[in-house]
Amino acid sequence: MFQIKLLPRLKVLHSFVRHQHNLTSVKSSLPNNLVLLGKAKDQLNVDHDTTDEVLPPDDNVPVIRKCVGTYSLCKQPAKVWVDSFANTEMVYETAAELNPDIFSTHPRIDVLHDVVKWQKVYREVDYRWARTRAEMGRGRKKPWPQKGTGRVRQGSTVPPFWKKGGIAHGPRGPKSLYYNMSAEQLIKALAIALTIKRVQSDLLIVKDIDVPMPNDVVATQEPLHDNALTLKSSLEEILKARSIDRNSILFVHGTDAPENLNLAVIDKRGWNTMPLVGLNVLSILKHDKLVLHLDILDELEEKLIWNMTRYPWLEMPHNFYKDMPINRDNLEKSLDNM
Amino acid sequence: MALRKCIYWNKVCPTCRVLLVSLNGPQITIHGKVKNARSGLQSYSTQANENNPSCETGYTVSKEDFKWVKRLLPPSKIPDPPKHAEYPTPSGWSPPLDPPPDLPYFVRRNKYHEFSVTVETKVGGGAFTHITKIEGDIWALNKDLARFLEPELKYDLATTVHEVNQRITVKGKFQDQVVKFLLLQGF
Repeated sequence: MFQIKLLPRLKVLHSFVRHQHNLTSVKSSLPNNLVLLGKAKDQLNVDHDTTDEVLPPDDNVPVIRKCVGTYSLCKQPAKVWVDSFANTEMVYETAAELNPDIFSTHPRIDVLHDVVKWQKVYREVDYRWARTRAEMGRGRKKPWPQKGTGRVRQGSTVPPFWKKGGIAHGPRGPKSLYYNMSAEQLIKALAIALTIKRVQSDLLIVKDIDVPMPNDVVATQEPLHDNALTLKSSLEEILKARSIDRNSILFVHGTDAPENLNLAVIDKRGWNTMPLVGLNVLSILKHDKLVLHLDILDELEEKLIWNMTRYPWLEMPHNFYKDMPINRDNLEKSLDNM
Repeated sequence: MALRKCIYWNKVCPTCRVLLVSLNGPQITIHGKVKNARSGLQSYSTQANENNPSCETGYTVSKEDFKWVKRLLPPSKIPDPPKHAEYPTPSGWSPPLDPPPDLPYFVRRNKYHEFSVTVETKVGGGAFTHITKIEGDIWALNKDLARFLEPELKYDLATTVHEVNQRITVKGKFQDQVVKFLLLQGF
């Protein structure tokens, strides 16, 4: 009765992580990040225009940052260029290593979808409400006599099968759509979102994230708006040199908020800043580009790897453990003082 | 009021052996076990703090002895396995090869340092063995697994390969055999 449609084997996916450098022979009509393997690679052996393409850093590039935490034996740390907003032009000099368990995982789209759906839904309230037959406000009177009219016998005008009758099993009143998503799933999804950004070359690791004030401009205390305009134009210049000035960008910084960057972003739609504690899947996916400060990578990787290897019953972690990554320095200090 | 209360306690819990020392004062002192008595009867506690050192239940601060408390704090992470003299250990566990075997696929251990091989049983008696945490060429793993399992069987092995979620499902209960195969491969 049914004709089973055989799906083609997803050969492109299976080595998503391991063979990302085979970008040399990609047909120009295909997206740049699509990796071709096996037969497809031979068939579509069209030279790709690589003039504008930035190649990933090779082994000779000095690495200024090593990845934190353990990772799978079969993986190598992912290398990315380190940028700096202190220079207007981008300089390819140094590289940073990223933990492959976070920045090159398998893209489980189902996990990502679950978490994005949860982030959109859990704060919503369903206000739909329908009247039942008791709430129609009429129907107490028998519409016609029991006998003699030739019509079917009816005692009321509000049963659900009547036109303009009440609704049976309809939506009732305000209902919270909140539900809980497991921490494991959230961590997985965050790693997947970061991976996708890196593989699609939408991830920017920046050493100095704060926008420098131009030398010829004297910073004024008042009004604040003048500073903001100056900084905005200089940030625009910086991003234009990287050809991402027309994209929406999420800047992620550490506990010390970059004041100049926050001022520069204040009046621009699509450019947003966020501390590391606020990093989440939906915000990453909503923005075209993701800019991470170099200094927060240690904390980010340590926390994520800790969450991946922690006991699952620590639903509400607190500080009465030996090896908590959260404020560990403070904890050590407080324990020593005690 | 106090008297009535006492009578009440005497009536409700006669096994408590409540001895009333003074009936005149507002405070009731009770000797013996009070565990069956409800709230409102304890009058021992005086709040202890540093400003009130004369209190019987006061405390002293000892920073040196905190190392013993530190030792009791539990770890939050699953520890790395200790190094044994020989493998496999009496429980049958052995660590993954380092460097990993030269194969197009890789199977990771989970956070408990074990393989994520589970058996799902059905009500009608059917069972499926799920293998997850696979990386690399899942189809090559499927082929090798079938080659390992099929000589012991009298029928062809039925497997499902879910490439998007990196999962292999084998029809039947094959948990031990699959774990044996993965250990032989060196994962």
